[in-house]
Amino acid sequence: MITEQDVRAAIARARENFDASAVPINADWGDAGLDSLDQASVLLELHEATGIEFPEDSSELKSIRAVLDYAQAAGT
Amino acid sequence: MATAIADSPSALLDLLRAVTPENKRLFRELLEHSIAKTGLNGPSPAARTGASGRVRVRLLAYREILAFDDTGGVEGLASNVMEAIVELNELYTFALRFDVARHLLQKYTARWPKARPLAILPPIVGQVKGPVDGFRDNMELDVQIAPGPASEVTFVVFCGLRHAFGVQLNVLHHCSLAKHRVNIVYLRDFAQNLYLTGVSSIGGVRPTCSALRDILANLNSKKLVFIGNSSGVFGALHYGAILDADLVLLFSGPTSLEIGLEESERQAYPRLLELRRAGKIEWPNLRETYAARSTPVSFYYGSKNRVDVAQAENLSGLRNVRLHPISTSSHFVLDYLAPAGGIDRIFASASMC
Repeated sequence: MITEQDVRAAIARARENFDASAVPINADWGDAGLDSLDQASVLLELHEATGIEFPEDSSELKSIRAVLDYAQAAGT
Repeated sequence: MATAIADSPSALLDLLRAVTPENKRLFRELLEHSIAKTGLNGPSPAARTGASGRVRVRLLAYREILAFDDTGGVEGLASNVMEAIVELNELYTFALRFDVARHLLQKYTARWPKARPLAILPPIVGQVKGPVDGFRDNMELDVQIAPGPASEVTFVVFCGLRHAFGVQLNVLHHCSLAKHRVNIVYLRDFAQNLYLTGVSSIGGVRPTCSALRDILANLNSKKLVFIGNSSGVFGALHYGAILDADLVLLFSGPTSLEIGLEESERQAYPRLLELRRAGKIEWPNLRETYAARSTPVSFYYGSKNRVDVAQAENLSGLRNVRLHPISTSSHFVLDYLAPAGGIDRIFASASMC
């Protein structure tokens, strides 16, 4: 099961010198200061750490909340 | 030794980034060994290789280069949008293989037509097949100079919070700005303070302005165009006033430190407040600044993006400011301007300011 902490840890690994704890759970990545490469890096980190398979067009998973909801629905 | 390097995906990636046409044979040998040894493109190879997902995907980009050089085609190895983004970033930023990236992009945008991070690229990249001059973005530098051929116009480009311009700097330069044959100075805000603490490798705002004056003089600049995207908007406006720009050209970003920064600049804003409390930065009111100046400002932004609208409208009503709302909720607007040569016209017009 992926937790909010897992996602924040993946953000911290994907992006140096970035305060992952300050990202509101419902904020779009862009609004939180993360670009599409960051988002891709975060999801690749999560895939690597947990084995979760994200949808092919994962650009729709636009927030921490969206990632958690997807993971929950996927039973991960 | 080659075998040992190829067993370490990160070391291999570093090596591949340094490959030149002259040592391409080594490149092929290393990559093929790594693929055979680690199953680079097999299912879940990361667990077997110890490579992070990002390193593995970046290595795939070099596999595509081999395929392209052999056959003139690409395979399209990314299995999802996030892998495609990382792979393309490697090709644009490090490998500088725009030809390979262009073919991959065609494949990936056909495969995932709704993915905006991919869809923004084709209108900007166009038919460009490779670097058009000697500029190569070094992401570790916050000041880079690309002299134009005998031009007296200089574009000073302020990157955003992510040290790019919504697209990789190599893409912006080789697919767009370089064709206008002007001098270009690229700036990055490594401190992520909206350039209010200057450019890090130089110092504070005053030393930065002093260094920029020297750079602009050495380039024999007679006309200055300050260009900002996203968080770079504030820097372009601020420094454009100090250094007396002839034109300021902006694409979606903050013009005021008082409007919604707690939302749009979540990382920077608490730091800026602290720096202000400590008396370490100025807190400029750019509306007041530009109300007292005649410098023309052109501002392009998404008319359905609440934060960007508020920041753009901070300058509304000033006689020297022209707002160009674009019908989108996107923060990134360059791709909306690209069709029918829109970006080219904007930059061409700026180069003749």
